[in-house]
Amino acid sequence: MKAWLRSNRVGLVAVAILLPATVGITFANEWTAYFGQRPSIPVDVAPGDEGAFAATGWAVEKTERIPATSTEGDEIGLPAGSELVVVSVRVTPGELDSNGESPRCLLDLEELDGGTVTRGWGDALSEPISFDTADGAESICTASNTEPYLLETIFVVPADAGDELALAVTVVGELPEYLRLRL
Amino acid sequence: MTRTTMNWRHVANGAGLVVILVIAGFVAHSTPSIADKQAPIAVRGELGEPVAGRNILATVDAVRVARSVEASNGWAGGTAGVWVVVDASVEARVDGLDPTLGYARLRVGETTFSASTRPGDGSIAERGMTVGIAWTGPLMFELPLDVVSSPAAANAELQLALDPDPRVDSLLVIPVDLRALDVDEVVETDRPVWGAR
Repeated sequence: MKAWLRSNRVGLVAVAILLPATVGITFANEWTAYFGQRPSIPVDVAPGDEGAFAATGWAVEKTERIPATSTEGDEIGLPAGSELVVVSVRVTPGELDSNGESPRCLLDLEELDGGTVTRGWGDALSEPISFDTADGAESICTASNTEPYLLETIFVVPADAGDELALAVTVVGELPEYLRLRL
Repeated sequence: MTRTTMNWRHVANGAGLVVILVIAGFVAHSTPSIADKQAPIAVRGELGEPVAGRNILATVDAVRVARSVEASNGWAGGTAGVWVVVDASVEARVDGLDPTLGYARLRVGETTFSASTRPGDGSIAERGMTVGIAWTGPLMFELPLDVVSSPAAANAELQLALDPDPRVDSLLVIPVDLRALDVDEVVETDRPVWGAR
């Protein structure tokens, strides 16, 4: 047996190295592709700070939570047991793309627990509520805006949503990184 | 090396080959197929009890059978068969990025019926779902009369998922005994409501 091991040691060592390496590389490729196509690496910005992302400045100016039980919540038509989260962001376009446009983005709200995302919400622009965006504010990232503008986005969340919330700004060209503005 | 040793080595090699072939056969026959590996993960529940999957929470409150339906939005559904009306409450649990109640089906034996979208906003079928905020309202399934009275109807299953393709995700399964239900002439359904009940 020892003689057999000795005479085949080169092949055995090659198998011992190449087999786990093949498995590892295959897994790494699959997971890299998977995470590379989705917002998986947050670029955190502390509350009150301005973040630079996609050659654009992003700063939360105001965050408001309107309970369904309030007079305003009733007027908006919020569902029972919910709150409306209104986030105002000052967007300062910097470097424009080859078409002279600022970045388009997707906006989501994340609920965090010690930095780990526990739940998420898409914006409530198409929900059956009556909320008027502030005068002069945009409700989505507008590529034609090349000057600083105010972005006001809304989310309907359950009343038990935690206080550790963040606005996630995803720009397709920056994936897998995305901006996480802590509220 | 003697001739006897050589013979034993041949026998051992043959036995080793047989063992390897048996193991290979076992692995080949016991390895899950692609369909098995991608199958929805069934989460079984009961009528009247909350049932939770990865990204869906639902409670089925009642199931009724009728020859016609009058929905809250004024839609009236006549049929040559019957309507199975399911009153349910459904919400997303984790991921609220544009989920809908995309998969609502009633399985009777080997046949599966999708929730009708004909009642429009009188039903919660294909409604957009929000994390933590339920939509409560009816789902309506149009079935042939003989299906409801068939032996398989005693073991019917209501299946709910958010993604229209529920593979590799939770599929809520709630058993329903359709044969035990009376067939009403007409059923009026409540308006779908968004929010806590």
